[in-house]
Amino acid sequence: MPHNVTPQVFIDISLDQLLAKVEDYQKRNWRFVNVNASTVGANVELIYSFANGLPFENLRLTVDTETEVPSISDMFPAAFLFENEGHDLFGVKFTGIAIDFNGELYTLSLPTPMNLSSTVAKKAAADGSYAAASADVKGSTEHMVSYPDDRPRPSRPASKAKINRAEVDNKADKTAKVGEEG
Amino acid sequence: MGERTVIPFGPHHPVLPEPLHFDLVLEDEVVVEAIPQLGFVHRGLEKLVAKKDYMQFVLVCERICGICAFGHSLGYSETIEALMKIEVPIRAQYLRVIWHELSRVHSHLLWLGLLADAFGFENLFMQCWRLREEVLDIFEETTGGRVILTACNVGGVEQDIEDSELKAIVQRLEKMAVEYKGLLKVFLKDRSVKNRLVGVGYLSKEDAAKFSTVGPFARASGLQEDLRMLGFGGYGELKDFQPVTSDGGDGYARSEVRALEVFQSIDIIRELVAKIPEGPYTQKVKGSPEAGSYAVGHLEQPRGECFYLAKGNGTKFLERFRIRTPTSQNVAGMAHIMQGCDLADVPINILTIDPCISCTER
Repeated sequence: MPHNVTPQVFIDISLDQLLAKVEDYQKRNWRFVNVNASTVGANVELIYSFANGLPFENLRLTVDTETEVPSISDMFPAAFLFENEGHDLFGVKFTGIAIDFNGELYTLSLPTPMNLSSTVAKKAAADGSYAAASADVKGSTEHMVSYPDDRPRPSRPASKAKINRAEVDNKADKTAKVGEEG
Repeated sequence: MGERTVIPFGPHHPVLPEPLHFDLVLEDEVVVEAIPQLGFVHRGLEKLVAKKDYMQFVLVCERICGICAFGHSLGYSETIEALMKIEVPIRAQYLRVIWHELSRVHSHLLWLGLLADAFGFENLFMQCWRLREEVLDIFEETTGGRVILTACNVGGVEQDIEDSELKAIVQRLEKMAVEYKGLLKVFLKDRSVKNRLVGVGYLSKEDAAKFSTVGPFARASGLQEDLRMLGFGGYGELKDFQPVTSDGGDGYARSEVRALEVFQSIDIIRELVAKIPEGPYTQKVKGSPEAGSYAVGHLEQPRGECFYLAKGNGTKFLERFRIRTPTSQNVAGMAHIMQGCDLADVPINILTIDPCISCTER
């Protein structure tokens, strides 16, 4: 068998080229591999990876956390998890994710813990609700003390099936009561 | 059609070894939609690159998951070697593949056991795990650890295996394979097992490609997706490699692919042990990854392709390290196969993709 190494191909693109490039990969039957976010100064660098057998390519672009980034999950459904992750941990504003957890994929004590200069993190630091949001997270436990007790419970993502959850719960309660009486 | 009901499935359920939640939207007993919910065991290990230098982080990587432990340390090491352009001694590459294939045998046996447990075949479950013990014993004798091996490191491997010991390992595996063949008859031929698996959770080849599935999940739908074919690292030393595939696309096909891959892994170990060269097994690594350097790497773990991305910043600490695990890639496909299935088939559907939630959430 031939000896191979993973090709290290990084292509710098701009945000408006993104969807066209990804669509091109989809048309050529490439396999979606990953969406990665990492911080570069106050911005976030996104790397989209695609493979087709041995050929392996990475699209690289930098966005700030104010800019809306279109989701690619309608073309590659597997991307939904990584985009939710990018939103929760780095504060990237992805729009139109197939299954959008609305920031509740992970329950976090700090907003966007991997990117403390995101818009959300800065806002949280400024309004004082997370006093230690901008503090040094290395070894500090202060942010845990200042964690608000009345935080909203994580809710599940909205279903596309349009279920009236209140109605379902109501019915479940009634059924339970009937059971108790019987 | 009946009214729609939402049934919460998990995060605690007898069939789930790890926490995963689904909101199942049912019409009568048929699942119309399954909405996944994750994030119960997120530990933020990727953030630890800020605290552990690139040589120490291999230990963190190994602790992501107990089943894929060696795979993660191997994937991490290969990515850092690509980042720093390190040549790994040839004997180390052989040893890495041998340990990795042993991990695959133990992972698949563990999974077959869990599957047997899920459809209520307690005896089969115990037999599978009894055979798996044999592999864990080999790990213990060669590395000192049964689950976390700490055998792989950037630049090579931590310890050598003597040639006589390697030959003894092959003999033990061959003996195990004979017993395993007997178990396989039950898995692949038994009527009650077939009743439970055939036609359950069907995924077509087109959908497998559309949902970017990886590993046995993709191969059971007829996709020729196996990174071992590409000859990365020690796999390039193999004479030939053809992935195990099946056209079934259902739960039975997925068990068949995993079950037969155990033999394939034993074959790979036998071939490499026969021609492993003498020489050093590790190499001293100096310096730090350059500022602004990027590297990607991927390898075929028991559950499928695992992807790694590293970014250097000129210090001993990496700027960013990303691990995209096979299960996180397969979640979309898993939610898809649930649509239209019976409520009673949900556990089998979840289990046949072999989910590893600790890996997914890191």
